[in-house]
Amino acid sequence: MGIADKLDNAVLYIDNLFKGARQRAIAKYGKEAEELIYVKFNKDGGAAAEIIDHYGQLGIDVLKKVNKIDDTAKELVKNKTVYRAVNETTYNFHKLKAQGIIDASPEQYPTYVSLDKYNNADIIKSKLQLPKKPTWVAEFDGNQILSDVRLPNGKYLTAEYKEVLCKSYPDLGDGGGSQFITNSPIKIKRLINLETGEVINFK
Amino acid sequence: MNKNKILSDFKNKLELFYRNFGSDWEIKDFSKNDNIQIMLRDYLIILEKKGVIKFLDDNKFRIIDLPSNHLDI
Repeated sequence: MGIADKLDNAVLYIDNLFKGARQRAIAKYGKEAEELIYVKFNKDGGAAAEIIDHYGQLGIDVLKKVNKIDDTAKELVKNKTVYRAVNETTYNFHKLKAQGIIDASPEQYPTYVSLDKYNNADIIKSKLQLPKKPTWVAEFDGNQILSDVRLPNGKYLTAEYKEVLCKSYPDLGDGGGSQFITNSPIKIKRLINLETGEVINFK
Repeated sequence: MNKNKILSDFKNKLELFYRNFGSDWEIKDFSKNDNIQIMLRDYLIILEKKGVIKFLDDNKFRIIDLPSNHLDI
């Protein structure tokens, strides 16, 4: 297979990943969505379609407001509660549990977070296509990460496409949960145990 | 893909996974390819000597320190 064929296959693969979101977004929001997907955000049209599909009118408003697809992350997270699923073996979990703090991270190893709230560990694992089942969910104010929150590229940052909603690893779950990355330090408001319901509040 | 690139990607993934998903893994979580699994196992032996991971059995291992804390790997 030649390089051109491989490129064609890659484009087709990425196109198919976003096909359903494009169809649903345009079916629901018509020409407005079509212009955002195919004209304004052409190269990132798949990501734009997922933003409309997942966030509805808010997604449309955000896409109209910004000029770069990554800038949508800031607008979507602003003034929202953000969630991070972890388990006891996640790096620095004990600091998170004791002090309610997630340390800043180097740029190439960001912290993954979501705007979607799920209360069940199996659903979280499936929606976010996590390789391990979470046991706790941390909640925090999204305004803390506005300076650097962004949309991750798929396949743990190695793919060419922006992955607004988890979908790269269907063998790990249904996907469809929202995801963002940040390197900012985070102060947690609440830590909730998904098995026992225990809640740890932080000031 | 050459060996250095495979091992570099693996090291990066170890840190990303530890920071986001947890410490305990199996070699097959990182590749389904038998030849690459052998390569990763050899590399993990080096990482164990450096104190980055410890083997739990032939295939399972625990990350015990961030790879980025070790500039010599």
